[in-house]
Formats: sequence, structure tokens, C-alpha cells
Amino acid sequence: MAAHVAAHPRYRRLDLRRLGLWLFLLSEGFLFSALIAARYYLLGLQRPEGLNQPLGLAITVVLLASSLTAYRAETAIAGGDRPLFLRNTLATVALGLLFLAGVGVEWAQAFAHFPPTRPVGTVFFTLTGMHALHVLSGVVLLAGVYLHGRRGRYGPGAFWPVEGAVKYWHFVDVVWVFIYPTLYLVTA
Amino acid sequence: MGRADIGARLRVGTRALVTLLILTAVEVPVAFRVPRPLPWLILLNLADAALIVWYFMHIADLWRPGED
Repeated sequence: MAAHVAAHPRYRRLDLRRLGLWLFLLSEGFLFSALIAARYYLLGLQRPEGLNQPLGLAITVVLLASSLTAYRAETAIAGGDRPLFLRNTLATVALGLLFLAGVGVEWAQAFAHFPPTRPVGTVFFTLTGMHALHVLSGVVLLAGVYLHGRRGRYGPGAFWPVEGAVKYWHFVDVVWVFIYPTLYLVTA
Repeated sequence: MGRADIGARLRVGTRALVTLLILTAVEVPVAFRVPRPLPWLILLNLADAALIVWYFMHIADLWRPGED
């Protein structure tokens, strides 16, 4: 075992990085689980009135689509196709910004229906706000990856920063997969 | 990874996204038309999450040490 590790130190480092990232994402999952649990504690199975259902569905589709572009970016750099990697990373950033714009529109409308001082407002703004903050940090990470990629960094066998940023982006998507029905769809 | 491999992987990603969109599209009528939709929504969401974690996040790589 020791000889194997000594012969492949890069792979061992990569395995540890992956495991560390997954543990970090798991801890983030606990945070969002607590917030989602708080929604059911405060509101039960009541669906908040006044939510913009078409907008909620639209931003969900945007975020799901961004997962495909992120996946394509990672696959492209793993295969050494830099132009495809750059195009898809940029598309992911653009879709992330579009999602944030949609959340901004939803916030503007939501203030009129349920201010943050009411339980439903607390639930809505905390959940969407915390998630939007994670989307924003994902956009910043991917923008950094794009800029480094343009300067020629990353290539087949050496793209851990891309993989890490993309995995984080997918995690943000997974979280929204649960937040969307929790806020917009669930009812008794 | 050759061009053919990249193409094959990209097709897998596209199929995963199409499945995700179908599941999401199913969620809406389930929520508004099915009585007591919570268990169905949970199942749909778990399927969504599993698809992303398996196909996009490559969780299986954790059990394949040393592979990129």
C-alpha cells in the first residue's frame, strides 16, 4: 500500500481533495436541511400565497440547464478541448447570473406579499437568500476558473480547480431541487 | 479521453438533463392536482438529486481511487 501511494502521490492527493470536498458539501447539506426543516416547523404544509409560480419554475429550469453546461465544461477540459471548456464555463456563469436576476425579481414581488417580519417571509427570504449567496459564490468561483482557463491553465489530468468548482455548482443545483418544491409546491 | 469519448459523455449529460426537466415538469401537476402530494414530491426530488449526484457530480469516483 505504501509503495502504491509513493508511486502515485498525485492520485492520492486528488482522492483526498475529492473526499474533503464531499465532506464540505455534506456539511453544507446539513445547513440547508435545517433551513428546510424550519420552513415546515413554521408553516406546516401550507403553500405560501402570492408566489410567482411561472418564475419559480423558470429559474429552476435555468439552474438545471446550468448544471449541464458545467458538466460539459468539466468533460471538455478532461478531454483537452479548451474552446468547448471556455464556452461552457462562460455559459454556466451567464445562467447563474440569470438565475440570480430571477431571484431578484421574485424578491421584489415577495416583499409586497409577505414582508420578512412574518413567518412566511422569514422562511422565504432566508431560504432563497442563503441559496442565492451560494449561487453567487459559485458564479465567482466559475468566473475565476474561466479566467485561469483563458490563460492556459488546466488540461487533461490537471483540472482539479475546475472539478471542484463544478461539483460545488452541482451541489447548489441539488439544494435548489429541494428548495423549489419546499417553497413553491408543497401543500397539504 | 478522445473526441468520441467526450461526445459520448456529453450525450449522457444531455440525457440526464432531459430526464431532470421531465421530472421537474411532472412535479407541478402533481403538486396542484394530486391530493396529498408530499410523498410524491419527495420521491421526485430524491430522483432529481440522485441523477445530479450520480451523473453530474460523479460520486462513484470516490470508490475508484486514482482515477481522473
